[in-house]
Amino acid sequence: MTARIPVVATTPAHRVAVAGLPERAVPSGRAAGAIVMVDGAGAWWDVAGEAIRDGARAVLVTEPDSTPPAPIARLRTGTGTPVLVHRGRLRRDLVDDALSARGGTAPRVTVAECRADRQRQPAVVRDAIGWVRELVGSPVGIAATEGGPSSRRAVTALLSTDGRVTGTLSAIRTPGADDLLRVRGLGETTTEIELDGTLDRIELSTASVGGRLVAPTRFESGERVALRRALDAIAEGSSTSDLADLLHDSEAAAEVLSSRDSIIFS
Amino acid sequence: MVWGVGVIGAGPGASALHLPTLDRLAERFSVVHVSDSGSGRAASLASRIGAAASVGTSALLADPAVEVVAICSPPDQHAAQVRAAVGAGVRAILCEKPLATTASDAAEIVETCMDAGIPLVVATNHLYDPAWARAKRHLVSRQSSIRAVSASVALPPNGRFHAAVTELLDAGGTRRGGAPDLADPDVAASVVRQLVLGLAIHDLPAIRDLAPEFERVDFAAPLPPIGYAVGFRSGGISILLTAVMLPDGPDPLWRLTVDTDDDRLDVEFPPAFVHAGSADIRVRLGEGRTTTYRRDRADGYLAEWLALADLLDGAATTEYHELLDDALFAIALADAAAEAVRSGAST
Repeated sequence: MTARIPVVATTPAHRVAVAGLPERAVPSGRAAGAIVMVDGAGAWWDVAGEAIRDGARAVLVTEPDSTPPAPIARLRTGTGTPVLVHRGRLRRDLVDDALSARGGTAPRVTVAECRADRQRQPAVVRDAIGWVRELVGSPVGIAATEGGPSSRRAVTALLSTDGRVTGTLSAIRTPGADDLLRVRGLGETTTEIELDGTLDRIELSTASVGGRLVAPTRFESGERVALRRALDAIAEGSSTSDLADLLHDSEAAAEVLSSRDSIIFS
Repeated sequence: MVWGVGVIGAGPGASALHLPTLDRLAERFSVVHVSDSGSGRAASLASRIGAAASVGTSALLADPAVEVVAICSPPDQHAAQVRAAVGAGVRAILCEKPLATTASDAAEIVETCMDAGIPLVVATNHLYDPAWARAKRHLVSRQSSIRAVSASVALPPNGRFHAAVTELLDAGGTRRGGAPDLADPDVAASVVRQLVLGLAIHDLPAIRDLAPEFERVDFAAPLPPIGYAVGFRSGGISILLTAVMLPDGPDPLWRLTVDTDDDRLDVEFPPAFVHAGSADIRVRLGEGRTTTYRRDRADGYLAEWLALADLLDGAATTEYHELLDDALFAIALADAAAEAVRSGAST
């Protein structure tokens, strides 16, 4: 057995993830030298910063809710401690499955559709943009949004990559609780990912002229996947772009949801 | 009664779409005459089925066996051919979409048909798809406010779908030309206008059913290699159109999604040309259930011709104002989208 890495778990799901990796991880109560799993609810950036100051080897933020730019930027640049982010709607294993099935080709056009209530909408739109970013392999810009006071219930946007229009996005704000994200990357190879938080269903499919492949179900919990990734990052001494990606996606989502000015773009 | 049909146009829209459709309705229609604009395809098509053939429209419209005219020519010829058909005294007209490419033409030919009492069907097959009526009934029964409608389209070349229903005389008719220069604002605007009137038009009458008052285009852009992204508002509802025509790829995606406060309804239309039954309807209900409606064996192509048969039989009446409003809605959107592309590109 290789040396197990101590992990500070703060939620029941965290503790289950640690327990599910008994050969590589061991529960710990001290941040120093440990992976600190931080619950993304509340001011997680403060908790993460404190863990880094206490000597954590890595920080894993799960399901970040709020994403204030300044504190996140400080976390990105403040230390050399890796900060990983787990987003359940943008699980790394699912993203890897999607990209692998595409065989390295970017879609011609993306179509992202979101349904969520007021509370969840920023995170759902953020994660939809994250999927688009992953599929196109580049940062995503907001070329235009639909304006008007009646757009509070439904917002549409034109997405761009490298200054070129590459997709569309719609975000429906539902009066009742809801959490649905569907992203399609259309092209010679087409990807469709549907994550239905309300019905607790995920389906990833890839289609080409040869047919349609539905990805096998991922039965591993998202937190366990994320913890394995953190353990790998420590073992390999590698870093991730998770925080930068989170910031990018959050800012793009905020632009979509806050803008009410009509812009015509070509 | 079997009505004699004269088909104006001999491209894939005739040979792979309307002729195979009419083969399935032999108890109601028989193709008696096919005309082209000089390609020679009409003679070949007609010889297969024992029909007459001609060049231009005069001989077809003068043929006493022609009672019903199907206009399957390029869109910019539709208005003149409708006028000519009315002038020739045909019993009924089925015109491929769009009915016309300008508002003045649309208004004039609808009025002409109405004044002459000639039944008219515009071949907006998605509107006639039996699944669409079912979808509308669902939406009405749920009484939930519609917030957005999105039409997503990704189309590979048509060849494989032509091959599913016929043997084309000349595969060249399905070939797509070189990519237009979308960096040129005028070219891009023209492409988007043509695509709205030629491709998005499939869904626009259905969208107008839900969101009848066109307000404005919020954004519009061409998409390479050929496609568009258009966001607009109609009847207070956000509408998003995204389409791309691909050089290759999986089976077509043609999905109309309606979001209400409570539900999401997906209508997946079958590929063009084929006869694979109605669209699929899947509904995700707000209370946490999903429903899939049974597909109907009939498709929109069959249904539009049967609608014309009903008009000929006197079992239904032509809703001329609806046809005109559908046409004006599409033309207003196409013009506004083109202008948005042109002005956006120029800045």
